[in-house]
Amino acid sequence: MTVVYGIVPAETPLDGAPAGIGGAPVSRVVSGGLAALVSPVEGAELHATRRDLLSHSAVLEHAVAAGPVLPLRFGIVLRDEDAVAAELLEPRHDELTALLEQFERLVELRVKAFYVEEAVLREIVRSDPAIARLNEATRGASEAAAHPHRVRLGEAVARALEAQRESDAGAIFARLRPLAEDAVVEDGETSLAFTASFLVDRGRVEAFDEAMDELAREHEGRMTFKYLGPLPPHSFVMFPGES
Amino acid sequence: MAVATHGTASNYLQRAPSPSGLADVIDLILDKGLVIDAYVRIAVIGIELITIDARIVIASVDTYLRFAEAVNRLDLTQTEAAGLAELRGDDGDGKAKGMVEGVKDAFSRDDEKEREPAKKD
Repeated sequence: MTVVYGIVPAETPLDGAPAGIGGAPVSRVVSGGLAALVSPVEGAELHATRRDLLSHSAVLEHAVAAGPVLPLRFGIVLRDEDAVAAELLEPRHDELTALLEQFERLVELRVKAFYVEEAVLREIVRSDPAIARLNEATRGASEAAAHPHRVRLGEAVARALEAQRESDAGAIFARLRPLAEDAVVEDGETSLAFTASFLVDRGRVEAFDEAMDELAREHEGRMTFKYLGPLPPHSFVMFPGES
Repeated sequence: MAVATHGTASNYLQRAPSPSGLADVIDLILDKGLVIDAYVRIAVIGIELITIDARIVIASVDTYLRFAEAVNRLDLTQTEAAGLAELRGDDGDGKAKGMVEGVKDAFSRDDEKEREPAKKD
């Protein structure tokens, strides 16, 4: 069996590619100006182990450093290398070529913002008199007596936090979106203020870095950021007509 | 202006060229990317285990109590000014490092010339 990582233009060099899943060497299946990055796997099951997930990702990260790459989802396996040509590269030639052209200069930058919980809770108590009063009333009060008030306090805080999250996420998105060709915002957990992927021209990555620097400075002490890229366009690539 | 000083500004996670953790990788490759209809997507084992989402159910009494406790615990005498900048004795000449640092290595295709760390001093 042959696992496929991604599709690159045939002229993309493979020098120094990291090992693939199971430590197998990555090779290329070339057809019609396209190359599929592949490696052999044994057996009929692919375990989503930490190492193999990271290997899949590493092969793609290496490829995107050299040029455009269309990332495949983890776990796509064909019978053998001939099948990669006959069942993927040949029948999908025109679509893949068009996608490579479309994403030629585009990379994915991924941004996550996390609240520093204590800081954002402090803001909420300071800005909402009703919450501040409930907080005073429940501090140090006995468990039983304060219970209904604590529930009300917590509910008010949860609601204020959600409103704050929406407002912060909106502001971050508005700041970054103009620098990107496309963007996908994801729902996250509550500790996460913002999660999104941006499709950015390689020539604008630096401008994006600067915007991220500004955001990090503006939100210092109340948010931490995780900023990844340039990645292959995982969140954006799909065949026409699919979603 | 508060400028991030290398090594102390905890929210300045520099842009990493590749996912460093499993969570990032799972985000990116398990349900995103091209899928082909001719493919054999063989049994991928273990995904259920690692994608269990510890999502907080926000509308629950337990969550409310957790928030209430967290708010009760806050030390509100701490002033806004006593933030990170003061604690680390930032004297204003810290370089804007952080996420733009190391950017040169991030990719090398056609513009490594311009990709100097953006030092704002």
